[in-house]
Amino acid sequence: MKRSRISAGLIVAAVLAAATVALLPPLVLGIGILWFIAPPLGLLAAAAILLRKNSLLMVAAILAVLAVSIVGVLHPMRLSPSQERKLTATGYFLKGQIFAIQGDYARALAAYEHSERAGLEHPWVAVQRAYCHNFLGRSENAYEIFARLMRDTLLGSLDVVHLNYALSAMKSGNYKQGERAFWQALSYNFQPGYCYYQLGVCYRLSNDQIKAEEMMTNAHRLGYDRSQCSSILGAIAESRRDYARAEEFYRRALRENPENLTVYVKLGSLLYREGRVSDARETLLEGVRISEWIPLNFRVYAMLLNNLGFVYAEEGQLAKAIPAFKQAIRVDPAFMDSYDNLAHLYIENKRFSDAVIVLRRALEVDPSYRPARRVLDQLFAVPEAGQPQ
Amino acid sequence: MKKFFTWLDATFIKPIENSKMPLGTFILIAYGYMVVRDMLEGVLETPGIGLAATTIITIEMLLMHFPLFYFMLFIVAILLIHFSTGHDIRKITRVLFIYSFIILIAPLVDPLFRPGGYNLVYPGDPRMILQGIKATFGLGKLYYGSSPGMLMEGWLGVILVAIYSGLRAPTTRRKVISILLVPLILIVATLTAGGLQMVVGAIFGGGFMGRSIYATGGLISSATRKYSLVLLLPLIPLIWLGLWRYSREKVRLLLRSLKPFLLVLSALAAGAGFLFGWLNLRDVLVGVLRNPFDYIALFALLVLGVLAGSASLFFGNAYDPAIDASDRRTFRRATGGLFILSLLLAWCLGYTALFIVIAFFVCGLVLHIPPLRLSRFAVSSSFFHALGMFILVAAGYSLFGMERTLSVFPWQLGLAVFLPLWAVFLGREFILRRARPGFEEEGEER
Repeated sequence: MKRSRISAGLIVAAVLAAATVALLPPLVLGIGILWFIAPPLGLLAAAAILLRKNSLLMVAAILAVLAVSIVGVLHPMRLSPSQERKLTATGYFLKGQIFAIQGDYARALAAYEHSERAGLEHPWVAVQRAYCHNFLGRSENAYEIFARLMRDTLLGSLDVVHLNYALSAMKSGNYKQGERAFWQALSYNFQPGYCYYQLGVCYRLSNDQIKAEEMMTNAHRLGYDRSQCSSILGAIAESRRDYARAEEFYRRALRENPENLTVYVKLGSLLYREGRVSDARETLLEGVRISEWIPLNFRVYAMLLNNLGFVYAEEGQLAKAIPAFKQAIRVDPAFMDSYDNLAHLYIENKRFSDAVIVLRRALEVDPSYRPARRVLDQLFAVPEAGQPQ
Repeated sequence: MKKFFTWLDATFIKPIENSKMPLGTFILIAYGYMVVRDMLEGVLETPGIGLAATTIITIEMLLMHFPLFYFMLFIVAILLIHFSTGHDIRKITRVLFIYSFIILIAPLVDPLFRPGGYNLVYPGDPRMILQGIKATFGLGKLYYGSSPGMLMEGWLGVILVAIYSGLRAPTTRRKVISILLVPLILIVATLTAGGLQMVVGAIFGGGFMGRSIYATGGLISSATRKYSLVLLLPLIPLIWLGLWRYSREKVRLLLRSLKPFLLVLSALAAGAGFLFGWLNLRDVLVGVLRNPFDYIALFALLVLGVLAGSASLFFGNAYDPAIDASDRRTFRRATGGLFILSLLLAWCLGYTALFIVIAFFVCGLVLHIPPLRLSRFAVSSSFFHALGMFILVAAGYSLFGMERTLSVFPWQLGLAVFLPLWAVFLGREFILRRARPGFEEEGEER
């Protein structure tokens, strides 16, 4: 049988396309202006189908999507109150995430709280709030939230929540709970290296050096931040006055991560204290060299320069000591020890007016810095002070 | 000397050039080297690269960021060697991918120079290259992030490419020019791959570290995924250019089978999803859409729409019995490639977008692959085509809706978009079936 030119299928599709494109967008979105745009597009789609012009049909579809998008920019669509609430809650949560990644934890916390008020009462929002509290230094608040999550929700079985609960307990001074939580985390095999490390830090703070050493050794064995573990083991040995062992640990820490700059500071100080001034100088110089290439931790960089200046001063190399202190001040103007040391070096060499300049600069940076004020007062009590050099 | 080079050519180059292995196998071999390098870096070099402390970041690095860096480097190098020597790009690709194992030198050699290795940085700063050249001749120290192993890799790469260019350039003049160009080619390739991330950082502010655009939030929450996106977007046209030189015939076949209006609709659908998300949340998100990556994400969504739409079309052709078997094979490979690129792009945008785009490909699967092959029936075919488009809208929306996309997407918008699309695709199906009577009969019979 010969086919008719326009089949029934085509007619049905044309009617459906005309109806859905013309009526649905203005009807369900509740945007009045769409009544003037959608019907012509519906007719265009129907005509394209009846004329069997696929390209024209696609153009009609493209225009329909464009129309809904563009009109949406000018006229907000009508949503039910519950939809509005849901969207608001999600929006604030997203806002919180963005602020959190930007490091603006105060605004992130406010956004998360808004999100919860708008109805997003998922425990995960509480976890995010607790993170923010932790970053804002409000460990007590974080601890409360994590403790509640551990008690009332299933999230407690997640390692991230359990470990943060333990950490916030430690930080908020609830050492017993923190210690217990970390031991429990160890029994669950939640990041054991990290747990041993935190327990080591805890025991070190509570002056139980034997346990701290044992925990750090375990963390090191499990491969958790080996260089840092070795560095802490060195500090423990140093506190026991076992300097040879401390040096051994510090050198191991540097082998494990030659860019762990804090270790250069520690090892330099240890060597200086042992009277090995030239070894100390070499160690600090190596640290300074690496800091020049990795200018990430300015405080440690300034500490290295400050200590190097100290070593140079001890060796009587004034021409090197002064620039070292000055560079330390340039690198981290908020590191006050460098001002002190430079001022004292000037005073020792009777360059009182230079010392006064340095101390005044220190007070400009931190007006409440007492040592500078005290030395400055003493200097003004000395007749030579303030005289031109 | 000539004997040596002839032996070198016959033993190490020709067998690889004439290999019958498909391109995909060479790509997988090169990817294998990359994974081994990343793992070795994680173990033998200073911690901080290769094996990150967070598992998800390690996965993003292993599957996206680092491979994209290396593939960008290799593709630029392949194209430039091809243009300088005039040699068959297929053969250059095979040889380069196989001998790309020289990237394993750095993590293996570095610990011999400094226990604990180096904190490697992928070279993107021209100063690194300059310092590397100076350091070779004892005129300075290595720039931070470089290492003796990286220096060796660079020089060995120059020597190997120079030998290859010398052997393959057709005339003496071209041999000389192509050998002289080798250092420049490798520098350009390295700086393109490594420098793009820095250039984007420099243009949009903040540079590379600290409070740069990579580390300051936005709709794409991870810096690793932002780096990947910066590499992936320019890599897509480079891949097309490479394939065009690889086999014009096949690329022409693929391009001819594309439906421009459908691709525009796909791109628009993904972009509209983004716009709907922003419109629904603009009252709440005051002051947070400031990261330039939010706008790059919108562009990436449009590209994602085009890629996914193209993949869907190729998918259809790959299992169309009316198409020649060898062409079907080409379509199948192209679908595979676009599938991977689309997933990578979606992954860069976010995990929800990734899962949603996987759902898009599931639609393609049930539409085109036997035994279901729902494209045989007008109603089911149009339904799944419209659903695929709607899924792209949801992918765009997911940048705002995150994991809650499906629960917060307004049903009114769903109806206003999905039903007209279904009706339009139904019309399209009837038009196509009228144009192809055989197809229509097949549809009617079952």
